[in-house]
Amino acid sequence: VVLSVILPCCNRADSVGTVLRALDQQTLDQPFEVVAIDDASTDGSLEILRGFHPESYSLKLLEQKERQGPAVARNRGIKASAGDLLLFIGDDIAPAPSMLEEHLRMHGRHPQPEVSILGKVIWPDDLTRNTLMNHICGLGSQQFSYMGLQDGQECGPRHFYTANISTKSSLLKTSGELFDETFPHPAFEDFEVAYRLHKRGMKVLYHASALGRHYHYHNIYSFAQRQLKVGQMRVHLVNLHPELAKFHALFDLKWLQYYPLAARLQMRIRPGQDMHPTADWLEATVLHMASSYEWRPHVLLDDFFGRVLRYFLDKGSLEALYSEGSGLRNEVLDTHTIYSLTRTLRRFFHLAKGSDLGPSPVSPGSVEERIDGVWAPLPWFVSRALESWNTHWPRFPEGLP
Amino acid sequence: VRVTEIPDRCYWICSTPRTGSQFLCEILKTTGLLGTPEEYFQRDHCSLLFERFGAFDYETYLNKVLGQTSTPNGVFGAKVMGGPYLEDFFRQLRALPSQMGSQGSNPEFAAELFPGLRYIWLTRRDKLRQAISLSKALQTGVWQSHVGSKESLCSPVFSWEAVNQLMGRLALDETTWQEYFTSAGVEPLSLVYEDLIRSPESTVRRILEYLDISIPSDWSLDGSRSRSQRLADDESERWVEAFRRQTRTPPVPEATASQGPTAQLGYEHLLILQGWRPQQPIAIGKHLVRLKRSAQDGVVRLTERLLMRVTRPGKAWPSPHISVIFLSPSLKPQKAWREWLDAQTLDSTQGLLWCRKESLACDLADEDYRSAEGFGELRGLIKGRYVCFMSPYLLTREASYLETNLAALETEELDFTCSESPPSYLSGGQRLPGAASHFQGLIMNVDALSDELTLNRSDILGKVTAPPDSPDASGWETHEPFRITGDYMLFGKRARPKRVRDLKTQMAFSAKPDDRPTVLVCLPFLAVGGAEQLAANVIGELSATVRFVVLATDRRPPGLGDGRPMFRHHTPLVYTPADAVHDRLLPDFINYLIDRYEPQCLYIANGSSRIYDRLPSLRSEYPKMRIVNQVYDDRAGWINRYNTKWAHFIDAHIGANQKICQAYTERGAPSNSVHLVHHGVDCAKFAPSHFPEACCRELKERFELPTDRKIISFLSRLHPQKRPFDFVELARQMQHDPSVFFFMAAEGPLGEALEKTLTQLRLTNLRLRPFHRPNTELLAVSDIVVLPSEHEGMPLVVLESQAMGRSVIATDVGNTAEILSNTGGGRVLSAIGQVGSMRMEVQSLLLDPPDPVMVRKAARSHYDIKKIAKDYLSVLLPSSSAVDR
Repeated sequence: VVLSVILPCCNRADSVGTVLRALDQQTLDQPFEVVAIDDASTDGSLEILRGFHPESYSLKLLEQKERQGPAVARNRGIKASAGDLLLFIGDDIAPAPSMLEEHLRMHGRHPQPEVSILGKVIWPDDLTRNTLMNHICGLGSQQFSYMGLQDGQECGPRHFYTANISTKSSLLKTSGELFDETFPHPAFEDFEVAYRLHKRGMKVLYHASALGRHYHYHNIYSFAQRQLKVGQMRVHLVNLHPELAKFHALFDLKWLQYYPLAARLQMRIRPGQDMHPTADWLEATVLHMASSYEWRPHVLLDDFFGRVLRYFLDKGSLEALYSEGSGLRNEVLDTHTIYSLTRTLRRFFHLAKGSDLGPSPVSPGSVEERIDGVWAPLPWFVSRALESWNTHWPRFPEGLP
Repeated sequence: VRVTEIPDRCYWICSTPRTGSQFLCEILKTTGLLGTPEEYFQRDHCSLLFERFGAFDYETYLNKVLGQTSTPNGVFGAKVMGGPYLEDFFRQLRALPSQMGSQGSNPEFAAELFPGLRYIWLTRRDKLRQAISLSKALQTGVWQSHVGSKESLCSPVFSWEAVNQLMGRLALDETTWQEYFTSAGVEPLSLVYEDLIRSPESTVRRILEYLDISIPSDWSLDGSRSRSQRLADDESERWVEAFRRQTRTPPVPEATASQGPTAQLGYEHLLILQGWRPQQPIAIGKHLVRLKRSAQDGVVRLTERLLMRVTRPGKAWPSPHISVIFLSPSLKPQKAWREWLDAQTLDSTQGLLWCRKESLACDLADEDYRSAEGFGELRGLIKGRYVCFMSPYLLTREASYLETNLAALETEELDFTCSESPPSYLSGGQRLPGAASHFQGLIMNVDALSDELTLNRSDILGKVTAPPDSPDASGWETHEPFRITGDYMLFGKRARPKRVRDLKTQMAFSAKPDDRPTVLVCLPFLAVGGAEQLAANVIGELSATVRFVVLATDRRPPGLGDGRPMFRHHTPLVYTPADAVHDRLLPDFINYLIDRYEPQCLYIANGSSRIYDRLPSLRSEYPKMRIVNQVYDDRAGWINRYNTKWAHFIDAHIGANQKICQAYTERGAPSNSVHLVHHGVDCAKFAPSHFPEACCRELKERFELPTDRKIISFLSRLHPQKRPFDFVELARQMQHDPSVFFFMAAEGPLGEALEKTLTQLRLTNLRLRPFHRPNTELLAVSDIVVLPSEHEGMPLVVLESQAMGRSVIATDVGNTAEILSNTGGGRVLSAIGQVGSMRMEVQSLLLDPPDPVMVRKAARSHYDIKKIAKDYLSVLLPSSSAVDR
């Protein structure tokens, strides 16, 4: 067996069948296996996995009775695999017919054990696709940042996407560096292992011809939920590797504990006033607005979506930083919501005013009025000082080398 | 130009209305010795008189009048009315710059300004006939009749109260003169109307003698030069009879003299205060209301400006306004036509039957057949200002059709209005003279038609009013030779849209009497949405005890369905003025309908800025009218406009769930004005028993749905709020499941994007079709109804599905969770936009469906419209007897 496909699966009855069938139509003429690990699915995925009989490959099925997350599932798959190469894909990635062949070809060209090959992931034509989905894999790059990559280039561990990446099995097995099983949600666990491997000299090469199709519909609600989880996992990652904090702007987030104080200065919030209704309303309003634009391609929306999703990411991190029951938690979260969403909305209204972007069904007039009620107008010198403070505050590069 | 010089002998004809003073003035003018007496100091005609004499201030005016109107022998005469007019006259005189600070009584003052002033006091013995004459003149607007002048434009109506009141008023005015003469210490020359009429010449002689003017020996009165005629006729005699019959005691004017708060008001106001609705519309509206209120309070402070506005007469109507011509092959009118005409909200219509074959025509009111070979002959029978030829098309139009079109015709001075021709009626349309195409529902100004039924003007201006099934009139390019500009159809080079005139001065009617209390229901437009559906259901349920008037304040945007039939099914009083009248007049239509129907309650069933912007003025103009508002969402939409100031204008706020009620109170509504009223569903209509299996099968075939699969439906609007794409994704995710089929019956703004996506996805398990009425049929073919909305109030589709025994999967928004826990008929999704969990809930519902009988039973006990309508009634009319009935 030259190649083992590691396929963890959790409640994706809609796509896992497509994935298995796509694997059955590969141009690869050498034997390969698929190790599928079901992570306690309840929607019939397991039945699909059990009932599928491939013609061109052997299917190993591992079952987990309890939900343990993708890291555990992949580790079990790695241990059960027999191939020289390991290809990690997701339960919603349908490989193009030549994908496996392309991975194999590239490994043939780069036989060094430290080289991993990153394939490309695109949205398929037969998937419901909206503006938000174009954003998160395009300018926003919250999900995949293929946009900044060039075919054949070496890229950092940040791009170790387990949606479509292959490594030599020796790299993992001999070093003993497996996925960290403490990650409860599928986020950053792939980066974390890649970071460890990167320290041991792993290189990731991007090969765009190894193409996978991603069957995963997203909308602002589902992706906001995903961002919350990513935010939480980001804190988990930094706890494991404190030196990564600066790359994830968590340094900024630590300042958020002073937010309530800042809020009293800048916002019309009286001492002891419950900020929650305002915060709650703002979040719902932002979601309504983003949702109303989901099906309208427009150049301004990338900025808006980006800021909204960044907000949810930070919110997730704050939720993890301030554990349940801590006195400051609610106040920090509400302050964050009001602080960043009023800014986001104001910026959006300002930009949208002169543009051809139609009005949102959420009447912006009343929203603007209410935002103005939250923010006190600042004297010009204070706002100027804040602006410069924001501009010159030490920022770190977004990505790792 | 005559030489301006100050006369040395002046006299006033002191009178009250209807004493023949005008007649006297005219005969005095003919003498050439007694000036040119006229009513020079009537405040209502001030601006006209100023213009006539080229004066800009009162001082100049006075000088010019005195100089220019006196006869060469230095005699000046004027007619001066008593009562408030006299007081007003002196107020103006005292305000003259030259008279500032001058003391002295009124008579002294007058003597100073009018050299050698003497008084001729003209009264009438028969006060009753005087009051009757005044009452008629006020109504018809005809104050004097000249030889060859036009007849009255409308026929006056007798009212005992009005005549009685006017008698009192006239008597009061006479006393002001008596008091004046006493204080002046003069003895005026007393003349009586009855003598004047009998022998004018001797009267004039008495005046000449009184004023010490020598009478030429050959002088005699040339009676033929006076053009005045008596207005009294048989009708006046009938009124006298009627008044005497209705008066238990013989009329004693002194006894009924009104000394109350109305003493400062003019005659017109007395009529209005009596609740009199003159057919000649007096500009009413807020000024009148203010007037009424202050009169009730016992304090009347009227500024002159206000009075001018109150008394500004509107245009006199030809009555009836629209003559509807029934072109009939026989001499009997079709029953349906008559019924249609009778059902029209416009009262002032005339039905004309015209049988061209027999060359006979008759007014349906008297059925007196006359020969009418052509339109020229028929014209003699037409009383209306506009004609409308009855057609099968008109039978399809609403009861307010003539009224709203009349409003457009009158306010924009149009020659015609018409509707676009729907294809099925194309052949039967009325042909506009000269136009290539046929038109529907044409209403045309009679003056624009020649006897040959062709246009008799070179410039014609018309307007396209919306046809019943399309909200915008499009495709009008083809109608040569008319030019189309927006809604207007223009013919001739100089035809232009005219300035829009005020609705209230053009339209003033009283409503047909009705003993039910009235509720005016306002909505922005009548589409097919939850709010409309609910309002229509409530109206239907309560219409036996409450009269509902429905008003849509805005234009109906395309793509939302037509909800008008739904409302018209329950009440004929459904107004969609945006179909016809100018946009500028739409806000005034609220006031127009309130004035017309005098509702006890204004129920804003769905918000629009037109209504809300008017709230402050409605509140002050109609303080007694209850204003009830309803919003349907606690987060989005109109709730965001609420604040303390705003909540103050509204008497009651209706919310369908706790969250909305809480949102009201949070935004400043007093908690005792917030009412929790659930939405209701008509369980008799939404009953599975109407759809036996065979029927469902047939429906499925009609909708091109498979009969062997479970149908999962999306029946909401294609709007971002309803998240239709989540449903499409659900169908895509389940495309390999052979047991289910997906059905979308929906329209909306996302329609185009959705169709594009569906073409791209090529799903074989999803059928999209436009929304369909009755929606019971849509529910009948569904097994599970999915509602993936991001926010809702209390979605009707959930209630309707439950009443039909259909399962529901809905996001946890509004009170879907509460409904479904009460009925047990479905599943609630905790998060919005999670298609995966939606898919899992569908699978689990298919495996374990709830019992439809139990679901229906629970829905019925909680949400039947009969129960809910009562709750609505108690909020809309809390003190009404209708609540008890």
